[in-house]
Amino acid sequence: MMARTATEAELIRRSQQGDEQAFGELVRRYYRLVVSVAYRLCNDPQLAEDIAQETFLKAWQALPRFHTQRKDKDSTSLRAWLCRIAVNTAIDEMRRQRPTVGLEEVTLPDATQATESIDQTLDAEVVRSAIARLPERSRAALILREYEGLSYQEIAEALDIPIGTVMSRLNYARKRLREELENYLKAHE
Amino acid sequence: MTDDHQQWSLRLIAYHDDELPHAERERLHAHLASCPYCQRTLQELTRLRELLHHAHPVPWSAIKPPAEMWHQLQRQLPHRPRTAAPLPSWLRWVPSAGFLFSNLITQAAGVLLLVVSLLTALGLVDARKLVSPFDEIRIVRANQVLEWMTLRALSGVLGWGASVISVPPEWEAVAGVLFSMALFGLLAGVLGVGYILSLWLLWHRGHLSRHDQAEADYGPR
Repeated sequence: MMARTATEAELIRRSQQGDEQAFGELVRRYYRLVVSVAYRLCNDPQLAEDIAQETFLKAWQALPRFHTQRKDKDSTSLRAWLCRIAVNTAIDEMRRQRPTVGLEEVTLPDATQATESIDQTLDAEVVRSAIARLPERSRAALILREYEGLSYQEIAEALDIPIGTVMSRLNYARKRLREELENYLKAHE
Repeated sequence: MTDDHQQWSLRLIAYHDDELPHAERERLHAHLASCPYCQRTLQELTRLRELLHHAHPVPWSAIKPPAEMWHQLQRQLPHRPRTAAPLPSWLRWVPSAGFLFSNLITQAAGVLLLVVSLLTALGLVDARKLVSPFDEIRIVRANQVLEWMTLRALSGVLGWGASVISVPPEWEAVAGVLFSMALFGLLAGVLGVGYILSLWLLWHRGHLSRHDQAEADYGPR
């Protein structure tokens, strides 16, 4: 295990020089984030794992061109950069698998999990279906904001769009969800 | 939705996401106090957030732990030779500047030696005076120390050369030219070898190698 004192900038610099152990530490730090983004976009745990693996492979190859210190418009945080790769990889993967993975085939968590009640399983099904029906770019903006807590600036970097577009996509996604889940939201008031 | 509410809609979203500037926050608070529609919208946004978090967890138990995933990933990582950290921008001109500098020094030294040897050969300068004319120099400033040391070194080399080369008087001119050219060649050789060595070191440490990473598509769609 690498010392916790290693800063992110140090790990990035060493990874850029080909240090696999430093990159391994970055993978461990960002694994949950990447899997979470991928899973919430594709709703399939196995596919989310594959997307995460593909994301980190692409990151390893592209890291030498990643800049954190530059002050130009291409400068970005590692978190936003990894989200960007994960979102693009997930969208590519979903487009490739679209004929075989339909919304009705969305994988639900194991119903026997002790921590999840039947009500929660139903909630999950309804919410996931509603999110899955959103356009993919609005869905990505919503997931990055609601589940991963990225700032507008980071979402703009991750999706390569202006902040104004981030706000309008979030507005659209939430409006659609409020309409689709209207009865559900009222029932849970 | 009225135009007024549409106007507040994006501000409400930014407020909900904690992204509204402090100054606008006060204005929104004032608006919320008198607008039941926006109050309801904000409540719906809050309820929606709670529902999203409550109902869409990641099934971590069905997903590989990070260590296992890294173990698998590590075997697939394409080999990338370890390289040195990129040089600071102000150091990137060093190879070309070093080349220019070593060339200038070599050529200046060569010209100096040729001129001296030619002048000596033509009898315009007395080589013996040239070899050791600096004993009387008075060192009064620090920069003269360096000047004196350089000149002593030069005169020492020339003196050594004159003592080693013993040629008939009719060949003195040719010998002088050959001797200065040999010195010039030696100096050029040392500088050239030093320059090539520094280039090799830079290349070996990766500063001069071309990055040949596969291009991946992360661009806008």
